[in-house]
Amino acid sequence: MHVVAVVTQKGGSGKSTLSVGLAMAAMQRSERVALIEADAQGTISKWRERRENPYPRVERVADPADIELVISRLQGDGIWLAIIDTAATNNVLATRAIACADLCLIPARPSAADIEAAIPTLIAIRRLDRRFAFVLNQTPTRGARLSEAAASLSSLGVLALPFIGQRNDHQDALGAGLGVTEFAPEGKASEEILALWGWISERLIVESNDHGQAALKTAC
Amino acid sequence: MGKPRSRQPADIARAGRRSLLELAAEVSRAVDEALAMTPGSINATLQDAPRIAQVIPAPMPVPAQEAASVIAAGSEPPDSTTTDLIVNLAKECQARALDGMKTGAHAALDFANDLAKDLAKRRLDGTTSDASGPSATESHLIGAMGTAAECRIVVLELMKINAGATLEYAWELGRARTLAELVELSSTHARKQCELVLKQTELLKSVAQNMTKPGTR
Repeated sequence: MHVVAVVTQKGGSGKSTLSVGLAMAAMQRSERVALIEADAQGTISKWRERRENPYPRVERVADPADIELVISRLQGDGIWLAIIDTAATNNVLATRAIACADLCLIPARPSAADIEAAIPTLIAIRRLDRRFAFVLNQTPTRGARLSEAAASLSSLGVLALPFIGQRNDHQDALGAGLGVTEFAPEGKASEEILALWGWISERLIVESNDHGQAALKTAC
Repeated sequence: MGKPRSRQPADIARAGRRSLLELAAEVSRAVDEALAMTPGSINATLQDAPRIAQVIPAPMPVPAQEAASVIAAGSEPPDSTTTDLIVNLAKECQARALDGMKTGAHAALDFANDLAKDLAKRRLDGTTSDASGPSATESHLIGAMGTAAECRIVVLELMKINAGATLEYAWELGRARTLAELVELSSTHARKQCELVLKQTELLKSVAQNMTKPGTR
């Protein structure tokens, strides 16, 4: 099973929306997906209540000690991908989510506040030696600010592609208990999220293969 | 009569706001500094729990080429403003690094020169020994000679390392074909240079401290 943690202590950066969007995009690619909500705000649980389809599975975690147990249980149930949505704070639960993740995604809008807010998250990720990528989120469609933000984030680490534009479809989908790929399958927002999931899944699979080969070498 | 403008022209607004590239450099420094400190809180947080983290393999290092390819493959071609900012940032970092090195090297060389002058003066004065054999003054002067030589060697070695790094950077810049490569090179070089200057400053400081300690030689 692959674990992706969506982390940053900046509120409003789009962690929950991105988590839902990516989970639904992965499900659309026939993957068995679960969402782990490690955020007391409960955005994903409320989304789940509005949703008629029972999938994806949503697990809530409040106690940091429970996160590994939930992941083990999901793994045992044959889930292929777990996406952890964390709270907008640098708490123990978020740190544990980072420690459990194969890949950490740091959503950031093209603003100084979002980039600055990444400091504690980056420190935790680097101390825990986790892989990470920035996701440039809620971006304007064009402009110097976007290019500058992309250059800034890529100087700090890997920047995922494509950028996710500021589009109403994301909020409307969340309000309707849907993923953006269900809400507006032909829309630009859907296209971007699917492409972003493609980018992420490639990295997860490459890492998994690398690990398999490394383990084989060690065993030999 | 024309309608009054409701917002500033883009170029004025851009000049007024904070550069995200400079901010990213500050963020990078802040992260590096925090990582250089003892990681107590994270270890304490995970002391009893990271079972899965231990099972999961160590991640691959961040692929530099991947980071570079992101901008190259971006949906929008980067504009000249971004390029200028990146180049300015790289130049600024280089200038800062060189200034720091120059100051450190000058201080160390001045100290070495002063020691050498002091030695020559005392020799001329004929105060290097007394009737009962080599005096404390003489051994101090012998020590000073050694310290001055050591100081020169350290400074020359640091200059050699810095010249090597600058030449390598210049060579890599010459090979850069896209803005993405330029960004990657500049940011990597700026980071390395800052780390190097910090280390070298520490080294120079410790050499200077050794020199000033009485009886170190």
